[in-house]
Amino acid sequence: MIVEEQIELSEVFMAHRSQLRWAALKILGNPERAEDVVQDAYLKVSEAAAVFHVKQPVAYLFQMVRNLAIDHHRRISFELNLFEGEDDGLHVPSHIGMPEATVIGREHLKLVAKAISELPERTRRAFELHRLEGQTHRAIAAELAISTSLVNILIHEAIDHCRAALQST
Amino acid sequence: MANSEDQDSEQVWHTAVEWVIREHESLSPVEREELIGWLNTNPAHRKAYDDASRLWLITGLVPPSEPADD
Repeated sequence: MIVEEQIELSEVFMAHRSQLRWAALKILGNPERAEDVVQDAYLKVSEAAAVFHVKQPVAYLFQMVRNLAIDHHRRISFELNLFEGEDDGLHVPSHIGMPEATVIGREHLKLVAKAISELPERTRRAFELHRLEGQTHRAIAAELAISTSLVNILIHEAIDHCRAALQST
Repeated sequence: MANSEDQDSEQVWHTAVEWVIREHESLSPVEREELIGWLNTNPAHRKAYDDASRLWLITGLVPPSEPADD
């Protein structure tokens, strides 16, 4: 069953590969980086497919690629900034672990998924709107009819709960 | 007094998570400078920030939960 789902998601991935690459390219503006992100997404999605039952694979794949592309883009510009002005500016930040290249273990995925499912409904909703849909605190506050500072508190609570789930192992 | 170090590390973690959350929405160049300054203040800041970024990445791989009316 799990194996079947994994094959299915890989097939969906391959069938949409060029569109996924295009989605990454729009965010990154660089074909090589877009290709890296798509490769990385494939590896991570394969792991995730072994752990989760993904009901809407196409939407999920596009969301993952967008997420990873945004994370990648942020890391690149961030690390260029971090080392600017250090030494003669030629310093290559090769020792910094790119999270994109981080191997995400299945156990960690399971624990974090379980932790998210345990959250109170409103906390989980606020977190998913922020993390998965990329909504701003203000938009989430309006949707849930709460203050933006409470939105922030709920997101922190969600992350802390996930952290505790990983630490308890 | 053994707790004061724990409290400090909780505070560092909280700040690291706050930066990751703010980054997710986007940082201005000034905020980015501020983040870099914070990271360079203490290796523990860098460690907490890396841990928080990794956790953030994992949470992004979890598919959205089922709608409540499913």
